[in-house]
Amino acid sequence: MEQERRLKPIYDALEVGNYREALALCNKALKKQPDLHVAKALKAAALERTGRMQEALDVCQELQWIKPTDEATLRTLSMVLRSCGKNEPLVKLYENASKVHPTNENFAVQWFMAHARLLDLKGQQMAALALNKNFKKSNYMFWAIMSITLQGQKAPAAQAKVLYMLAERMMIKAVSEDKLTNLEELQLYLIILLDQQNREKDALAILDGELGVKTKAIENVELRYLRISLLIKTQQWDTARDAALHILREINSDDWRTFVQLFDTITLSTDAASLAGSERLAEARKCIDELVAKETKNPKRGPFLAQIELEKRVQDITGAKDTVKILELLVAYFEIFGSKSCCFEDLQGYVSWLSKDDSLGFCAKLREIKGDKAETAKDTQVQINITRFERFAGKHSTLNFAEKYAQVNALWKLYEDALPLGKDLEETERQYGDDYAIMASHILIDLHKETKSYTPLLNAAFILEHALKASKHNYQMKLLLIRIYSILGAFNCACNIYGTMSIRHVQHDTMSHYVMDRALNYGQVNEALNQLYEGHQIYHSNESETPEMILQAYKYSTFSKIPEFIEFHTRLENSLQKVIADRELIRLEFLKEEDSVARTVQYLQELEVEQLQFDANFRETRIDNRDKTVMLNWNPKDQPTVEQQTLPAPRPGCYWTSLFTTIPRVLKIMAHGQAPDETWETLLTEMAAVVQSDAGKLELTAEEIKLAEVMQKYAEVYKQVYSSFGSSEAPTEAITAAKEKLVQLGKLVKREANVRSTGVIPWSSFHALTSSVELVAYLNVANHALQNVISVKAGKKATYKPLLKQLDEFMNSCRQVLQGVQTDISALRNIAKSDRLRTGLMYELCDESSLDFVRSPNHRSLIEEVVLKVGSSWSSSLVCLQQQAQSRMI
Amino acid sequence: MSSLRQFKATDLFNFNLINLDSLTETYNISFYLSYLARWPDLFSVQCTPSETLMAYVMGKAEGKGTDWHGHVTAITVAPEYRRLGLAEGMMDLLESVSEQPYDGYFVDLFVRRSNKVAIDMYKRFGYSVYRTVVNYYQGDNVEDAFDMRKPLKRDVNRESIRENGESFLVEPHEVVF
Repeated sequence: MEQERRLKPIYDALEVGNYREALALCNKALKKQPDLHVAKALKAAALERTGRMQEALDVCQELQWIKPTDEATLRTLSMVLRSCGKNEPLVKLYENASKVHPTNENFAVQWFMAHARLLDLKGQQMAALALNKNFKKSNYMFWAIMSITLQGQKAPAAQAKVLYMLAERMMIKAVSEDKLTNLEELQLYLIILLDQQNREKDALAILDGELGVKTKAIENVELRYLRISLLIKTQQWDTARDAALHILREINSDDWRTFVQLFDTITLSTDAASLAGSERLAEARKCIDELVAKETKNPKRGPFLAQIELEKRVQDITGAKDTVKILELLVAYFEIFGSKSCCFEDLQGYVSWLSKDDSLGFCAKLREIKGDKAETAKDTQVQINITRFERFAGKHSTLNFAEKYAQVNALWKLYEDALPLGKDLEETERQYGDDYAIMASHILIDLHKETKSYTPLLNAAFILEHALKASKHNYQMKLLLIRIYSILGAFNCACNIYGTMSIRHVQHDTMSHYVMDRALNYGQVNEALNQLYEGHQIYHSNESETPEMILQAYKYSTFSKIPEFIEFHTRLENSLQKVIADRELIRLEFLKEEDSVARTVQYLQELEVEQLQFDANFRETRIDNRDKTVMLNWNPKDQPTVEQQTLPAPRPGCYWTSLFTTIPRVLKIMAHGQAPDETWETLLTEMAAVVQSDAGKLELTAEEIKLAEVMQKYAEVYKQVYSSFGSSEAPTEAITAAKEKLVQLGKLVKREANVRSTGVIPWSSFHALTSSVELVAYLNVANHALQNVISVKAGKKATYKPLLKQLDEFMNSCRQVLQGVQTDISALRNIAKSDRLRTGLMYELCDESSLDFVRSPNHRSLIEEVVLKVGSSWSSSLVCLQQQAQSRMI
Repeated sequence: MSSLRQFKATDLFNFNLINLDSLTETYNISFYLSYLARWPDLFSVQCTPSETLMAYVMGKAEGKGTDWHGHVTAITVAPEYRRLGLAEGMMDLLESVSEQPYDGYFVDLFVRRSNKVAIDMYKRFGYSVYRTVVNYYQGDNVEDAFDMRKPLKRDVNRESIRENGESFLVEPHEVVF
């Protein structure tokens, strides 16, 4: 009672968020009663809430030594530890508590959960078996079985076999004791069987047997699907067909994966030669025709598309191509669904299967039937679909420049014509003709690629910005604009649009590459750092949230989801995008604000090498979650997609991350003045392998390859100098060689050309400038390190004089690089001034433009707005870059 | 031609076509996974033959006694795939799962009073307004919600619906199960 009286105010203070008072009360209580563990735990909680994490952890540590075993203390303590991201200590705490209080079920459950949080499957298994033994509840046994099964999924084959055998035996025992009662437990049984080879028959027997009936398995969508798959695998063709037909007829006539199963029962059961005349085929055709006949009001697409799919499959197998029939079906499909936005996607695969002539014939046929009438929204959608097919069939690819501009004009007119149809649309909806504006931009992107001129891209930006005013939330336009602005070097414009897209949580992993790839490039380091750190939150969330959700799945015995949650966790933890972002962060930290070599060296010292992995195993286990398919694309199948076309630079991947892992690590060794050791050699071998491999070259720009070359050569200098220290003989040879290399390096770092502008300052111009600054930033550290090493190891020995002199010379070359950068930036800053843009770029863009849109006086102010916006972004970037260059002139 | 299947945790990596739409909010990991961990059969997705995600519905089962029911928490269709009957397919499935295995009395959902398009759609699916929750939606656009319901077989006497539910007003705290 006394204790309760003392604790209540603390709980109250914590609850209302008065942490300072809570802390004071805890201290008071502890003064009176130093062994009041719960007060200590609450103190840790109060400290953690006020952001004093280290102090909180210190208090937790004291408690961990004490090994508390009362519920209240443990609950609070574990909460604090989890908030601090420390899950490991919970295992020991609850293990101990449950040993001291063997009848306390909650402690034992918490012990299991503590293991599960760490994905410690073996520990989990142990805890679950103990739970089952002591508390005799069947769900604990299933926890144990799940834990064993998951170990099986990870183990090498021989070991896995034993684990699955064990899991299966336990499952059979559970069944014999009548403990398997629900669907999730049944699914666990099925997982165990199907993870093993050739157990389809057994799984099927379970599904169709008593257990399946008891758990009503067949009413579950997934198990229904699984059952047919198993029937197919065990070659029970008729039963499989009947089951599939039952679903299509009675439950869901649109269910594509069931159609595919139906096709499998035909094509897998019959050899190619007899397929065409087979009874099964005839029967299936009849069934699908019947399904088609039933779709009268608001028809579902499934049966119609199934007709086409079946014919294509059969023709693929028999080799007897009958395009007339397919074409007929395609046209018939279009007649019904041509006004649906997804019609293009539905048929795309089949049209690309046709020959080029046939696909053009298909387009001509559609035009013949539908003409170019666009009086309603529906008509417009039909027209858009035809236009998509025309682009897909390659109709735009053969046009010359003038014709392409004419096509853009035509599409723009169609867009404008469609606007009145959508005048009553909600603000959140898209205009009916939006895809015309998008396709016009696609053609302009083609023109940019072919002519290397940036004018078409600016034109596309104008069109899209204009169209975006009528469809404020059209994310397809936004994505396209982000990419166009990126190529145009307008970082702020791209970021601003990205900022309007409500990209949150898991989307940071899949979408942030659209703005954050090589974000360093635009010089705006702080802006880029903020964005990257914000996006990085998702990986912390994964660490703290996903394990808790795995526990939830155990709590509700949702076994089917546990492997899935674990996979989700792994995909975020091993995300390639995460590594790319991490490395970009390092580059950005390097180029941050006012630089001094001392700060950079300090930063390198703090970098944890364990966080900077790059070996083959690490590379191979990265998972690419980046969404590259969300952008609309109607380009012909043999051409790059719009997403690929609009990449401002080669897409960074594992090799890119290797390069930007090895560079800071090599620098770190130099900055510490360490001798080149085994790690050093591994790093340099890796760096060389990256730039020499074909796969590596595909991810790197010319500037990045040059950066690697310079770093490699510099590393040789460092190594040679180091080797001279140890030799008892005159080290002249090594010194001369090092000196010679420095001479070569001096030539190598020279900028190949000045960055000049023809009115636009695109991504590539910024890349040339930033790469030079980045290179020198690294070299400053390296030079500093080399000077240090010589002065420490060789004092003022005369033999090193010529080398030091050459090093001075080399540092001078570095300064010259930055001088050149600064001169270029000064000139570029003039171009980016608003009055220059108005008289220069604007004039060039609008005067005698081939585009109606651009010539129209109505659009003059929008065009000016966009041009100035782009110019202002250039200016911001240039100012930042100039500062960075200046502060590195040492 | 869509495959209607249960939502998988890893679908979160591929749902941008749906979630980039301005009306569909993206929530934290726990939100989606806590639904999956508890009601895996009430969270479904419609996919194209090439496994592109077109639409999803997430739901839960809640309530006591004759209030035991299936609830639609969110239903959303990517802009490219609207007007294809995808929502109907997903609602059908959610209703049938609410019936078996959950054995609920009805299915309900909340919708903004001004969202006439959605309200008409749900009416077409057999839902009717049961009550109006005053100022249910907070934030920039404070608005009433309609609690719309459709009785399931178990509700033999159709007690989960009523006439003129629009004029039956309740406060937000009264609709927490």
